[in-house]
Amino acid sequence: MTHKKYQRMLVLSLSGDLEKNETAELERHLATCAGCRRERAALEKLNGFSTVLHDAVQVDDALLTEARSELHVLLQREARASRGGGRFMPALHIRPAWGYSLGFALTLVVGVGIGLMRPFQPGEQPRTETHPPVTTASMTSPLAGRTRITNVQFLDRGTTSGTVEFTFDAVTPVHMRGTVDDPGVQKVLVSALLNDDNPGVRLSAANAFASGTPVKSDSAIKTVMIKALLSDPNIGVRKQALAALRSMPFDDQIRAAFLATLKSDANPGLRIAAINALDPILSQPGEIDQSVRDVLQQRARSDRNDYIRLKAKAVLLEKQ
Amino acid sequence: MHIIDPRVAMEDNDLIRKAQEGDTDAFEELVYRHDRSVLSIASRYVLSADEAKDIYQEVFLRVYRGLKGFRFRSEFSTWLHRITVNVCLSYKASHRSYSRPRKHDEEADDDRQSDGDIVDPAAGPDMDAVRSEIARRVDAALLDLAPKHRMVFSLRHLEGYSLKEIAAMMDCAEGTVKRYLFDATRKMRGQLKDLV
Repeated sequence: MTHKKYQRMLVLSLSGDLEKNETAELERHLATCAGCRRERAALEKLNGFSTVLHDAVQVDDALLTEARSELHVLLQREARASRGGGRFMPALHIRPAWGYSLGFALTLVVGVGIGLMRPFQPGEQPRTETHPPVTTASMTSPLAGRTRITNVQFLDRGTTSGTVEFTFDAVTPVHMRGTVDDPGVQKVLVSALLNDDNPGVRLSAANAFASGTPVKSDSAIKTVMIKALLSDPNIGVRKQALAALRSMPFDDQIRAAFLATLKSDANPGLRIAAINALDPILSQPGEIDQSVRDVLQQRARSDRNDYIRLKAKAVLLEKQ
Repeated sequence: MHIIDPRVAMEDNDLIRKAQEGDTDAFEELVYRHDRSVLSIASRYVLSADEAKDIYQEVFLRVYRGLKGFRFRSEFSTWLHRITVNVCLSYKASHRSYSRPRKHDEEADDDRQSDGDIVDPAAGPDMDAVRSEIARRVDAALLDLAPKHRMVFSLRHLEGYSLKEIAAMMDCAEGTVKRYLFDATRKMRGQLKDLV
């Protein structure tokens, strides 16, 4: 038998891929062969160098974010090419509500513009309004105080009839005070958490849910928190969303969200929080289901964070 | 109150079905669950971050175009990684002339030692510099391997996939993967003989 066979076995042995019976055979050979022992020492050193390279070439979050942004643009183009129109709701750069608002505003402007440019036809019947215009009497309250008027669009400039007709946006500051159990407060906080462009505002909204009175098991709030945990670009918001979810009764949806975070979140701190948040199922006696086992195996194998790798391995060993 | 789409807690297969029906939000959610591993494999395979991003985009465009044909006969991640491996291997074949330094190469340029000057990591105070130099040498040796050898070595030693998983990704027998791994290790050992 040549030494080449044992050299092959050494390579597989050091990567942990040698069968038990082959390992025993290799050990017997190594006990008698100085050359193969030297080879093993060299390969062990090479393995150590691979670890150095592993640490040196890491995917950082900035690169991942950049790649996602570029992919998003490409997918939009792809969708337009294949369907002849926009198909992808912008999810990375334009938040959904902002996207809808922008689209609506553009439609309104174009529509009004076309309407204004359209020549008046003598004898034409007046248009039926879906939303009849309000009178100044009914507008007294909304126009009071610090209401800000923007986007005034004239429908009738009053040059012939003496009556002006227009639309506008009225933005009124509202001062609200209450607990997070209050449905009105919840509605505003949820809207801020999902739609506000300012990460500080989203963080404050998530913080309110996480640190206030424990939120009742409202499925809509829970779903919002899960969405924030899995998709908000700001780490602080995701962290607070996870904290809020931990205060809610543990169920399958929350479990799936924690698992997805453990599996995919770019931030190691959040992955640690996620694996700790899974304790209600990891610390239970008995089997864990396959979806949990798969994620733990993946993390045990490749997570860059020592704590996560060790904890995942420990749970898997315990559940064997 | 506005009801939020509950897809955020869906399993992969549910997301795939949604995406197959044209739900593009579901597709993006699916991408975000798996894209780190794709970028990681690409980053270890090619020379620069830009090339890794090229591969990442090509992979997910292929997935997007081919998702309707996905029949759930394998795990989505296996299918995705198979596409990733194929894109990497073909990318290298068509871009072989490009050779750009990696980031840590540029950083180490000023005070790089000659190949024979690698010192014992325990001997010097500047561990980072030593590790950087070792990484550069190992990286260079890795990049010198044949594409399939490099892919197997990288997936096993740097990404931590099992031989079985690598065989599924490369669509070949486990024995073939073992052979690639052995050949790759032997060549790496030859390239780095002054270090090992």
